[in-house]
Amino acid sequence: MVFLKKYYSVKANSILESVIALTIISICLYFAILIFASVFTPRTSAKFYNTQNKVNELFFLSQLKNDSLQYESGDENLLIEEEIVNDRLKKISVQYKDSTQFKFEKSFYVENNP
Amino acid sequence: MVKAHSLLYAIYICLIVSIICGALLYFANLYNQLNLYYNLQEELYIQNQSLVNFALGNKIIPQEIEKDENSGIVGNYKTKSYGLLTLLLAESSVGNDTVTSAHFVGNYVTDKTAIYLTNISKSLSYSGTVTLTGNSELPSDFIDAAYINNSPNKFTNNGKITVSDIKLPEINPDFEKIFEETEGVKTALKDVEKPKDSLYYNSFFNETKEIYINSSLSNIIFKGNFILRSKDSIRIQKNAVLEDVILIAPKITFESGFKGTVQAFATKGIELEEKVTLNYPSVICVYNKNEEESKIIIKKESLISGAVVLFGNSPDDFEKSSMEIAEEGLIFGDIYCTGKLALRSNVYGSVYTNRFFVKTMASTYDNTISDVEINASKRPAYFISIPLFNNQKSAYGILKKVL
Repeated sequence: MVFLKKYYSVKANSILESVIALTIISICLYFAILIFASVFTPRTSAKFYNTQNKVNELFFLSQLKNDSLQYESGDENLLIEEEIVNDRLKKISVQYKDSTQFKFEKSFYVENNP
Repeated sequence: MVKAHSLLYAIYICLIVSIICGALLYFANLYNQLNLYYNLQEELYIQNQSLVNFALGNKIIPQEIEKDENSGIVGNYKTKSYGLLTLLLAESSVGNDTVTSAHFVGNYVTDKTAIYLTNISKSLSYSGTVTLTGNSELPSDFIDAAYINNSPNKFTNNGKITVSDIKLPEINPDFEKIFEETEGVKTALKDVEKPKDSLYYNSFFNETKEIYINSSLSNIIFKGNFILRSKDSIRIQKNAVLEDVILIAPKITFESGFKGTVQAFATKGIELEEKVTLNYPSVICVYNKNEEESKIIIKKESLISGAVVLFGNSPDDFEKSSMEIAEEGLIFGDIYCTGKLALRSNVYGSVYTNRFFVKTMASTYDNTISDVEINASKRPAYFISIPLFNNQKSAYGILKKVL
């Protein structure tokens, strides 16, 4: 016991000091979490860029071959809408939406080759 | 024993956390800026292509395109003519960033005509191996055999033959307009600056530069939006590089071995020496409405992708205008000749003429073709011809992307 008292007694200068210190640390951590949350938004995630690249890929695919979009419907999160503007032109709207409420929309015109 | 100095430790921790947060914010900001830049460029590029599709789908009639709500990109396009071709200029912008593109565009023509020979003289005859693929309109629906060079005759026809009219279809009035004097700024070659030291370059977004040149063009590079004029003849040497330029002169000669993409317009004659290659879309055009003779001479092994046109003479005076195309060459596109035509090279396209002739050492045979293949179906479906006639504009497509 004497041994313990000698080596393991941790003295607090005052309880008040400890409380103030804990408050400062918690405020600091609160701001840190706020900053982390604002930095790591869905727009900065790799997934956002993957989705954007995927939609861009769809544009180039539909430019090359008109019916290529029908093979992309396997992805449940991807909603592709085709609107025929006239007999030579159609507007394609691509919407990406998943369970995290992350939403991404893009529309473009492609030639409607028969 | 560890002494507690809680406030001091708290400040240390705060300092460390703030340094980490600061660094994170800084890197996140850099990362965002970079990604924003790349994404915006890519988005602008895609929206620009989408705009080009929109313009083509609307038959290049100027129309408002709605602003893209997600990205805020605004697009607009305009067209202008460049020689016989139509230029589509598209611009997409957001804030201070702009992406522009220029394309030669044209409309698809499903012309399946192999030969159109007017019904003003004797019927067509053939000698040697002749293959016609496509529909033909001839003075009579029967093609006779002629014996010129003692080789066996073989004639293959894949298409319908009908009796032709006494007049060729009316040529596109744009051909005549090219020869009219324009009001653009004309400068001499020595007054033109070279933007990149070794070459003359003018973007299609700028105004067309008209330059008066000397009689010979050698060791020179011209790319883009130029009209090169001369009051007399021009000789284009094979070491000259011409890309997408327009040449206007009374007489134009291309030296043997020349390669380039040009629209050449002359009033007296155009001569292509051996092994000249004119890439798609090129035009060789002679317009002669005077009493003098005019000629297009295309020598051996020349390749032209585009159109070869000779017109201007009255229908009863076609002897003064002639076109001679020597053997072992290829015309990928159309031939229109209101004079007489000596055709010895293959044509992957259509031939419109008032008269054919074959010249040998001994004699000249009228309305005869010898050892040629005229195949209208060898033009691929995506091939856009030079607009020879002012017919119904159907679907539009891109001929070539230019700068």
